[in-house]
Amino acid sequence: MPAPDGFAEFVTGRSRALLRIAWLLTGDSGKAEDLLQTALARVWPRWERIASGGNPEAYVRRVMITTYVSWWRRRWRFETPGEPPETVDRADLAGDSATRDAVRRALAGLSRQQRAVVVLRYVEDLSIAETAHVLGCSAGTVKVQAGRALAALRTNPHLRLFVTEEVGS
Amino acid sequence: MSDEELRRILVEAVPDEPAPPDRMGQIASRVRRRRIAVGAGGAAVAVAVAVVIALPTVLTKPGPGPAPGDRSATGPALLGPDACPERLPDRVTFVDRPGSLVPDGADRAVLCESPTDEAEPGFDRRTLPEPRVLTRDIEGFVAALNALPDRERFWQVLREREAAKGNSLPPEVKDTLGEACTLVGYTTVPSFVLRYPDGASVVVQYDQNCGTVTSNGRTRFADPNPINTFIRQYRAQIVRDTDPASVPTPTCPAGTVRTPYQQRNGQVPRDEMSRHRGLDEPLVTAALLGIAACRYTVGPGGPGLVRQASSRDVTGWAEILNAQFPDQSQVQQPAHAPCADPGGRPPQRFDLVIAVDAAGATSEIWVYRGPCHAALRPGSGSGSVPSPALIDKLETLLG
Repeated sequence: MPAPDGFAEFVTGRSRALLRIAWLLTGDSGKAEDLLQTALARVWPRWERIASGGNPEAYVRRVMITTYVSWWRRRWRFETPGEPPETVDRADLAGDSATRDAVRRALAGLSRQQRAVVVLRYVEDLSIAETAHVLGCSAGTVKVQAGRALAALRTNPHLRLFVTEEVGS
Repeated sequence: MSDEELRRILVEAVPDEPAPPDRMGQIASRVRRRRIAVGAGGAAVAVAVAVVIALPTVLTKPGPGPAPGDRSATGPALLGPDACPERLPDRVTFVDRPGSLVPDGADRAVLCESPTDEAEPGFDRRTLPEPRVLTRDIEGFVAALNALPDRERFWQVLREREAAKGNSLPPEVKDTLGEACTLVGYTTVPSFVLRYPDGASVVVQYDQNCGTVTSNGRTRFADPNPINTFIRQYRAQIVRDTDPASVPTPTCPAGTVRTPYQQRNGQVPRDEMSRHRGLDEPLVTAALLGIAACRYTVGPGGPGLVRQASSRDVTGWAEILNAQFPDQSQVQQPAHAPCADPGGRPPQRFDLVIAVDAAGATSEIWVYRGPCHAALRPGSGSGSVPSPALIDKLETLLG
């Protein structure tokens, strides 16, 4: 089954950036790749129209976020939020691994909607209105969720410790 | 930690992993599987349609109005004992076809909430809000549904709206309206069920991802949102049917109360008014009839009632409560009170406000007075900083 024109190039060129969002959402490399591929498979059949819109990456990002939220509503409905499993990344330097672990732990303390809000607002730099549009909720909800998420991140002991070390170093 | 620093920390934490050897091949495989699944789903729908046709007395039947064959609505929907669809697809195909969305002549309209295909098989229907039934001015509601814009008209509306803000929409946006939507997998979906004097019913399904309604094989844009139209009519109907003298003045609950703080006990403040509150409206939408204020302090044995007052004089209360709890879509909201979030310290002193309105509905507003200062939104429990006007009103009432 041949891919639509330009699709393979898009996947090759933009997957790394999209995977970054997926990792921040899921905190897991395997789930991140799954999320990315699911979103790309969803846009494949409508690729020509999406690409002609001029900003296919924004579209794919939106599909990825909404897929992530729907996963939360379906497959992970009864998951109990908690500490992520300890992982050892042999390729990492100790500092990278510590950063990653701190971020993973901090994000694990947020609800999935809060995590999506953080990624969209503070990593993807979307406005409140754009974030609300992507998540299908009100701007007020985004503000509340963002406020709570930031408060949680700023007071998270793992992340705070890391930030202090960063600043002092 | 500044926003920029947060961004840097998050971005730097992402592992730089090599791409899988055949990502494109894996995506293609998913697309093939998806097509097969969709095909199987279509076959299942065809079977379901055949079954529906064989059971005309149980299922949605054509009503009077537009041409025969137009009443397939969103696909035949099996109605439950509450007159609402047992289950609805979570996504509806956009059909831009001219004509009336629903036939005239309905004598009842019901606002339903039904599980979608995304819901777990054992979905507990008891968690759904009870259907809201409109029995007056149905013609008005049907007219509102039939006045909803099709794609061409909605495109004009949208273009004018954006032009007023100084924005220019590119023409290609038009073709994406109603089709390029978010893909949130909602587990429940609202719908309207119109009933006709001959016993027929027509389902109008709302699509939360696309902001559209579909019925009779036609899709229209929910602008203005017909849910709000319905709820305003529904509220007027209840208020008209409720004798104010029959609505008792609220009083403070006897015995022990449990605060909804941190929502650990699964409680959220009672909010019966939400049943007749539109999606674009603040807390109080019908005239208030009575108010009670109850003050508690927490001792070794739990919260104890130390002061209480009830009144039919509700002057100023609706305005104060609506300023504290505005329409949730408003960007300007009272400041969030983080101390009321999960993990915050439980209150040692708090007031409970119980308000009853002309529809006979009661909502509770918990106001934490210390050490946390927060007003909890009925129905959700999220806390905002209480306004001086609210505090002043409480002090005046409680003396």
